[in-house]
Amino acid sequence: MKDFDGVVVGAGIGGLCTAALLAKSGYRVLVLERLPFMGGRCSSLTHNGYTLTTGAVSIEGRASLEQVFDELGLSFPIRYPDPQVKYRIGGRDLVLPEKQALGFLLGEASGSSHEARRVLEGFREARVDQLQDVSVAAWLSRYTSNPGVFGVFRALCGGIFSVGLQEASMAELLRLIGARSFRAFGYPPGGNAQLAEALGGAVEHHGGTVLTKARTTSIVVDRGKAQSVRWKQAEEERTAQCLFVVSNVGVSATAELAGSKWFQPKELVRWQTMKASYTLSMEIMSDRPLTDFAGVLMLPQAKRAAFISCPTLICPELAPPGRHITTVLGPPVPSAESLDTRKELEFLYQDAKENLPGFEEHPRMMRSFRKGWPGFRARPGQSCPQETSVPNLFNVGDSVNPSGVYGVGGCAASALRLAETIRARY
Amino acid sequence: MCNPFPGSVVVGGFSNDLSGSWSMERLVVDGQVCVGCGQCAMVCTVDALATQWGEIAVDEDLCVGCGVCVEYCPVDALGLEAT
Repeated sequence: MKDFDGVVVGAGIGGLCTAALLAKSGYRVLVLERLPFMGGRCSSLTHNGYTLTTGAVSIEGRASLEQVFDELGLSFPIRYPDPQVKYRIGGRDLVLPEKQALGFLLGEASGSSHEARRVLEGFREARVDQLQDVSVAAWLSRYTSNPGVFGVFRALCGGIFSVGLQEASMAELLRLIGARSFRAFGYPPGGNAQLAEALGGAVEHHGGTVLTKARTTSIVVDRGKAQSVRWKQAEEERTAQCLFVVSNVGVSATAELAGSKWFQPKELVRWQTMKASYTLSMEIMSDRPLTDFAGVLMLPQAKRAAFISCPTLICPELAPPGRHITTVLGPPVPSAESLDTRKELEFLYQDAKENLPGFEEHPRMMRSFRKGWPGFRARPGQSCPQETSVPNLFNVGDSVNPSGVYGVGGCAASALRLAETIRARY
Repeated sequence: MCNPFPGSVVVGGFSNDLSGSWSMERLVVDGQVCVGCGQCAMVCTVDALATQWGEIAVDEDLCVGCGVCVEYCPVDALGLEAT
């Protein structure tokens, strides 16, 4: 008998969701996490009394992650701002109407109902299969050159995909709209760690084990199948034999841990050339609210920032009494390794200056998420299959999210899909 | 008052006020690997780390070389070396 049915490498939200779903179905699972905390880029750490994210800024509700919580019998601890979104255009913060929201928004942003109509007509004619390799920028320029319209799409693609218009795929934008993603989002009052800890608790409640500070050193493959996982914890080397392995550390790191000789050349090339989305953010810690809106305040007229949010207006638990966290977030241009991080953060700083008067007097953290700790491991359209050439080795997380769902929701969706695959086979 | 720790800074008449002066280990940052996510600054217990413009700055006068940040770095960009 093997030591475990499944070993999950990495306690990101995808790994935790998979482990918890499988543990609930009766599988004996072991989760190995290199860091001292669970949740990866969807967790939080406390800094001078402020609960700050390790990556994810708002959590999608009424979608895959909530479905995982439901299946596990856990309450989904998200508080939703009302309204969810506003758009700052010409100094006014606009709430979108329930119907014909995009037409209204484009009309306000362009100052011309004619421009808005042209783009909307383009949307009605747009077909995913004809736009596979067309960027949102290229598609938009077929219908308009209005900078207001471009600004709306820049903020949307930046806020949702964390890429610029030149890098965002129009087909993926249409898939996102088709999948009705990002209809609801909010914040856990205990920080993102609350989500990770609930999932980790569910793994253990159902008999599984989660180890932190446990660094996986290899996934041992023999005769074409994953046999065991080796890890190091407190300088001690350990091994666990298992029926299957789930990797939540990104596809190229999976190949490194297992050894590239077990994979098809085509598969390896796809993993190694997969482009991530990068994100820049600034978190301002203040003794007064810097904005009056808790939800996502989209900034179509900014240079880099996609949006501002102030979660402490509805989740005061995230900061010391009376204090607030304001986040300004957007992708760099390009959202790739050739970026000039300093210059790009200066643009974000300028955006903050224009939209949050007086923010400079408060302490802040200016952060970049890139390379091995990016906004998303796969930018839209780059996501890889979850199965690998090693039949009992699978990937989960934001390098293998299903099309049309992204971020934390994409991680949870990949976990739901994988749990189903594994239940059918083992 | 004489300073018992050569090389440390004397502040306000008391020696050794700066926690970094008694550090046995020095924090080193691999700038090629660091992404500037700021997690090290978030967990630093003596506020010796700051993330500005997407880069980490270490205040060696404050760093005690405890190594907490090394554990929390998600990309293995931090290490300790003996002083």
